[in-house]
Amino acid sequence: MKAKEFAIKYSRILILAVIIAGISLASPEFLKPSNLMNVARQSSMLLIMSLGMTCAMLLGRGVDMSVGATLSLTSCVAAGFLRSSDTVGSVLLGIVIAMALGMLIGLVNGVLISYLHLPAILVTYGIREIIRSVAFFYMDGDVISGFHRIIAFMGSGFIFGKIPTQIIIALILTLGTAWMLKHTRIGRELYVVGANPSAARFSGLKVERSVVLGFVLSGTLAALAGIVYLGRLGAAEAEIGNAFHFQCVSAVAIGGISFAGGAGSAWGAVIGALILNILLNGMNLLNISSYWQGTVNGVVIIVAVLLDYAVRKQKGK
Amino acid sequence: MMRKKLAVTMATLMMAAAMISGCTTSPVSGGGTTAADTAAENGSPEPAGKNYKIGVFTKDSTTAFWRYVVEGAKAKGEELGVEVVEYAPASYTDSAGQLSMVEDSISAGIDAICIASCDSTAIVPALEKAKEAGIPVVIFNTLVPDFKDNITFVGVDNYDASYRVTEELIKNHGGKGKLVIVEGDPAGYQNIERTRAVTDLQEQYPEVEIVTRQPGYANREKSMNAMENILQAYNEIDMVWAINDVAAMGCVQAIEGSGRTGIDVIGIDGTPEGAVAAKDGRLKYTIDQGPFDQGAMSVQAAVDYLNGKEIEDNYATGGTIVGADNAEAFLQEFYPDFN
Repeated sequence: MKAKEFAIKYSRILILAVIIAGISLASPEFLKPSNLMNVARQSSMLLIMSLGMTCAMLLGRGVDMSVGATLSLTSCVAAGFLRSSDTVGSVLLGIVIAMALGMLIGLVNGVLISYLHLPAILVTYGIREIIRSVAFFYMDGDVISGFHRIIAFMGSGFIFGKIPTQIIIALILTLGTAWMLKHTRIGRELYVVGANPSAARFSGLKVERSVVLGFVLSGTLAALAGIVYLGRLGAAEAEIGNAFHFQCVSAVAIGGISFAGGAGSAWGAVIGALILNILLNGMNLLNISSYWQGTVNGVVIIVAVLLDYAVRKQKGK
Repeated sequence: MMRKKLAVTMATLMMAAAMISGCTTSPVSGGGTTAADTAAENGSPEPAGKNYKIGVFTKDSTTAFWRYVVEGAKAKGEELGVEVVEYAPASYTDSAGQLSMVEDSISAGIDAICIASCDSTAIVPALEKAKEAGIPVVIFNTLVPDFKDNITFVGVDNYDASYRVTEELIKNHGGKGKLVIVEGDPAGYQNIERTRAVTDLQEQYPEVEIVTRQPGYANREKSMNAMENILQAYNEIDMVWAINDVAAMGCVQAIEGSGRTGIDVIGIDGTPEGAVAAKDGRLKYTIDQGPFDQGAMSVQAAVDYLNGKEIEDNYATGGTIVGADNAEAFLQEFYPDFN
């Protein structure tokens, strides 16, 4: 029994290991350091957003569908402050504006979901539609390119000449989120509220405040991801990042963040983002038709949900 | 903001621009008719008292290319004293959305339809409906082979544009080398036409090897990811062909990020962003589609038809290959306000 429990608990790491082993056998290119860096770089953006999604999902109210649109709007608004001709002060202001806007979007989501008890998937979807069209109006088809070296450094630069900056940023944010969720009071409350809202309320926790906080974190991290993303793409347009919410939902689902709330961790998001991007990278290296990529992603998501089911059954016994 | 300023400038420049493009465009191949005549030469601006409502259907409302199309259409509409109504689906792939927009516009009593179809097959039933309602249809930008009753086609033939810019690249490489294709939506008509030109050229230049072909869905980020992965898998790449300028800039960003050099990227569309990149030596070539003219000439043709004038079967727009040597002049001529 012990072995089985262990297997289920670490099953996601196991799946990741099997995928890595399989792809490296099939394609010798995969394990080359430059390719591994590549995968890590492609995963880091998704990871930053998935950390926010994790915080929101822990509450058990549902997914945040607005993350991609939040990334798009905040980065478009900030882009005007981040041009290569701008001062360092303007760049910092741009980053602050992006994060404040992300927070505001999260706040609106959170208030509607917690105080009015509306379903998160619908609220955030509605908000997504609104901010998407605001972004389109704001940009009116324009592309802004040519960013300040600070932004270029964040999104496509290297630390010590070797390690992509965005990986370091993603890693720091992961450590921060993991620490916040595990060791701070507000972090722990997210779990308690998500696992059993009534019990949390009876024990004196401010349930609504926790829900708002979860979505504010999600919006803020999406905005941060947007800044890094600008540096990576070298251009801001209303179109970018719009499909990210699906990838984020996939990443947290694969990473074992429970849709019922109260279970999951920042490291789960890391594993989820890695599995998604390693599969994509592997299929590209092996020249597998894009038609199959959706099927493979779908199968992995279903397997992850089945694992969740197995864990819950185990606990129920 | 700066778009509006541009619109005014463009409106004044338009007659000149239309005349110049009339001189520089090459005839569209395969159309069966001469296309060198432009709509501007054909119809003298007529202050028609009839207040026609002309629907202009683009593929989306968000990218610069379609903004220029709409600007061209609106400027021409103002000049001719007709109302131009813009219809744009949420994205390139929203063919169902575009279909309902056409149907809705018919109910709303539109006088003529100018359409760049998202999906050349799916749109046919809606265009048949327009025909039944007696509404003339101008096809622009993307051909609809299964609908034969359009009054004219305005734009660059996708195959032709891709063929010309790709051949320029291949010739520049001495007719040989390893070529990567970062294509659009594999099932899309535009993609099929544009990539067919590349595979045809490869037969003509057997020393060109197509090393891989991967989809980037005409999207900056997806094309960038695809290119990053391709760079890992293939050590020798000489040329990269991308479905359009947006995708090409994603590829350029990926190549620059990898530190690899000696890889030439080409795009299609001749967007100002692409032209700036060509000027800076980041993009090898792009080919102009004349978005402003596509909008303007479509409206002109529709109004001429409604007024009972003769119109051509084909109007060619754009067609200039933009590279490092002419990018500056191209930008000054067509996009003087860009950035």
